[in-house]
Amino acid sequence: MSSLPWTVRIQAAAFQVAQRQDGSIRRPILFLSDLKTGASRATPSPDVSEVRSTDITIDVSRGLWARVFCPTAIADDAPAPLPVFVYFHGGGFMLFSASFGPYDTFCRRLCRKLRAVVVSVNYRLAPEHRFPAAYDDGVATLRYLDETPTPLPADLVPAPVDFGSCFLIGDSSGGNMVHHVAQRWASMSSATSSQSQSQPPLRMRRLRLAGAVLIQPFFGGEERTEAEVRHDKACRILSVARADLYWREFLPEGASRDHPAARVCGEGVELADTFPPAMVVTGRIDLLKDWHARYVETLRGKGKRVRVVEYPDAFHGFYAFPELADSSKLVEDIKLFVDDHRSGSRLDACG
Amino acid sequence: MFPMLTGFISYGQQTIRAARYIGQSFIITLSHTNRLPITIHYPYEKSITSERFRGRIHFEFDKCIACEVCVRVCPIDLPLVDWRFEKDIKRKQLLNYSIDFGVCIFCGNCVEYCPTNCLSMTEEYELSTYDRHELNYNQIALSRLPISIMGDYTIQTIRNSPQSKIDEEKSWNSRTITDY
Repeated sequence: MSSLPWTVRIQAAAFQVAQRQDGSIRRPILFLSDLKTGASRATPSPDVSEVRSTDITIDVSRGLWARVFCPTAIADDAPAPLPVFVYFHGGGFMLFSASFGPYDTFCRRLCRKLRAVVVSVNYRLAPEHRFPAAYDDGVATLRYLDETPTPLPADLVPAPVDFGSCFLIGDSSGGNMVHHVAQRWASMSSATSSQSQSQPPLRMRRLRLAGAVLIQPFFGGEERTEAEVRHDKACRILSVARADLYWREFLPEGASRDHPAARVCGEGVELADTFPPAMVVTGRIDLLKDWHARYVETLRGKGKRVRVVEYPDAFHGFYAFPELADSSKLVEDIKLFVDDHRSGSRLDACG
Repeated sequence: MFPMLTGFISYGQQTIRAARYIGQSFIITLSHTNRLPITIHYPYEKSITSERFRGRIHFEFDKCIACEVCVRVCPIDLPLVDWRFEKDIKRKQLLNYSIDFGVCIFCGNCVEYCPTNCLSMTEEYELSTYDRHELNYNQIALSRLPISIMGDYTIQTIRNSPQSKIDEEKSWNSRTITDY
């Protein structure tokens, strides 16, 4: 930690201040970061980083909204359709929002580097909304993108959008959501395809999950892994006690950390046939490194294609700091994964 | 009522604009606080010289054939070569060789054109002395091997910027990507 830039250390200390001794959260402190990243809901606001953004409402009844990012410098001569990224922010299901400063910046970098439309979902947070509220919000977002005729504002996204190249991307608890939302959506797709055998399909789904990017996903269990014991004090972003608090507040009352929402490894995990290829990003000094390895083993056991990217100097949450070199490498690696799995790519033609 | 309100509003806007204008110049100033210092605490800290560093010239007496190519290619004809022709073996025999580092410009031409490679550059650059005549190195002084600063535990060595860039390039490929 001593080799980190001082800006990273200050942000980590501020994050630590936002937590009280009993584990509860001082949300107003984290809310301060939302003030400078407000996006206009009426007109898209151009940005110095060549990205325009606006907020859209997905479901008024549950207060579900998302922030949409679109690159501005689009070539007018026969532009290729833009892929769609549905981004779930991290925070242990309790913290942050789509308008949180570091995540807003991360989405803008994704949008600019990947030349894609990024939809950052502001799902409902625990402990007010426990399991499975966040997963329901994720699936509702996918359904909104799939069924709404024009889900994205026309003035924000002038270029055509390729809904056949939809990628789910999430970090920490968002990575956990990527897995469960992809699994639910793939199960619904399988159920729909099985129903179509008996009767003609009502509507062909245009949204196709092309890939899932899990950045240091937030998995856990009752047992203590070696990485949890060794890297408990490695960084201030996440510790074993804090992770236990997050799970206790998110999982249903009385459930242990071996709940299927947390423990995503072993034979009990069921994966649909249309589960997309996955890219799992892990760090060598990450608390949850062993859970990532078990998750990868589970995907391999089910015959799914997995790409594992491990950064030797990455702690949990390194992607949120643009000052670190690994943060920019991560975006480049995501671009490689996306180019391999877009619709019309060579791998799809061979597969 | 309204003129006072508009006055306060315009005054506030002017204050914000002035503060923003002044703050713009501090962007460059405050960004320096996030940078590592470039200075080193010489002589307790010394930089590691690069491989192509042009320091003191090293001369190997046994290899020299006294051809005087180094004198001809030198821009100021600096090396002093004293030789004698041995009639019995029909070969020049070197008697004395000296280079005055007070006059030398360390261009490296002599090292480049020496046919027997008896001249080479070292990484030694601390040639200061109180008498300029002491800078006239004879063949004995030129044959001395350079002092290695790496082995001196009292001196902390620091890499210079080109080496740091090489390290950064190496760290770029430090991550591992595995496809299953």
